[in-house]
Amino acid sequence: MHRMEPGKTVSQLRKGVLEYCVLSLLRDRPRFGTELLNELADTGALATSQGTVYPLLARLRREELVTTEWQESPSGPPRRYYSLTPAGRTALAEFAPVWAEFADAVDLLIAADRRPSPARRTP
Amino acid sequence: MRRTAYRPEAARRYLVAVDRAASALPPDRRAELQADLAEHIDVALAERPGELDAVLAELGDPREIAATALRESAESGEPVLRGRGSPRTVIALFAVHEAGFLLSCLPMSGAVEQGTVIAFVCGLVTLCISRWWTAAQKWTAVAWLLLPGVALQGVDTALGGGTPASIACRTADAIIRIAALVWLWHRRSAPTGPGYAPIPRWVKIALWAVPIVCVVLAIGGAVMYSRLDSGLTTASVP
Repeated sequence: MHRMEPGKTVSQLRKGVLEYCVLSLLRDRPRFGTELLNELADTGALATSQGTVYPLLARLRREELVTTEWQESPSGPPRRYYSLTPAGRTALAEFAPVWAEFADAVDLLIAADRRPSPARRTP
Repeated sequence: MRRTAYRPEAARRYLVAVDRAASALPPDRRAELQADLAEHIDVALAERPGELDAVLAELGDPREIAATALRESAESGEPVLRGRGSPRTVIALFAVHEAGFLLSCLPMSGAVEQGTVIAFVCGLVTLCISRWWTAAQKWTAVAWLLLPGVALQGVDTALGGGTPASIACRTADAIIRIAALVWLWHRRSAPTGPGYAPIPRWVKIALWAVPIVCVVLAIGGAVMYSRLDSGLTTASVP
């Protein structure tokens, strides 16, 4: 019998959406690395081992969806702030309806499973 | 622009662990990953002084981070550097020889050692064509793998080949070679330059088949020979 492994399923789900979650966090203002990771951790389901987000951030930089800028900090070392580029903003805008549709479709199926379907009960 | 912050030993070890696990990444990606993680550690430590253990624990398993970076690199269509003569193959071939060498202390297994000499030769050839080590490192390793053995054999012969002396020499020889292999493993570093196509699977299978067939033939031959030998001995006894 198949058993769902919660950890594995969540990590598979996370993999596809994490980059858009990162882009979303940058929508309002630039943020630096540890700040971004703390915000992700605070969401709960998106919490992941933080180090694995850096390869993703590196890719977003390479694809020019984000840019970075060093800023001096009043305390401690200078911080690298990530901000959205116009391309990043476009990618995020394109993802929003895709996600809405996807989430609706999954919701519909999962919810249909929960309440008994009258069509199937009649012989 | 960046000041290099003082970095505790545990943080340095953590970064080295990530780098080692990520050694198949292209060099610029590897450097990028190191810089990102080092920056994270420096900033996090400035925010929460004295909580290095927690910071490293939150960063997560070095191997998981390296695996994610490798996946990202593979998905973006970059060739992941593998290179001919992967360290794992080289060490495995030498390890087969070493196992045979140690086993040969048991009676009736001289043939096993002879068979595993083939594995040793294959190991040398693979090490030769490998791009994971510099020429100087290869020469050093080959010297340590071969010369102490020759010298100790000489000592053994000079002492008249008595059993305790012989065992001591063989053990010392094996320890030196194993130490050389450990050194070689730690010195490995992913080849730089353009990536190249991995060796096809069937070529790999064919290459591995040669030493395996040799070992099997050697063992088989030894068993046959010993049977014949004991048969002759019993026949000659009246």
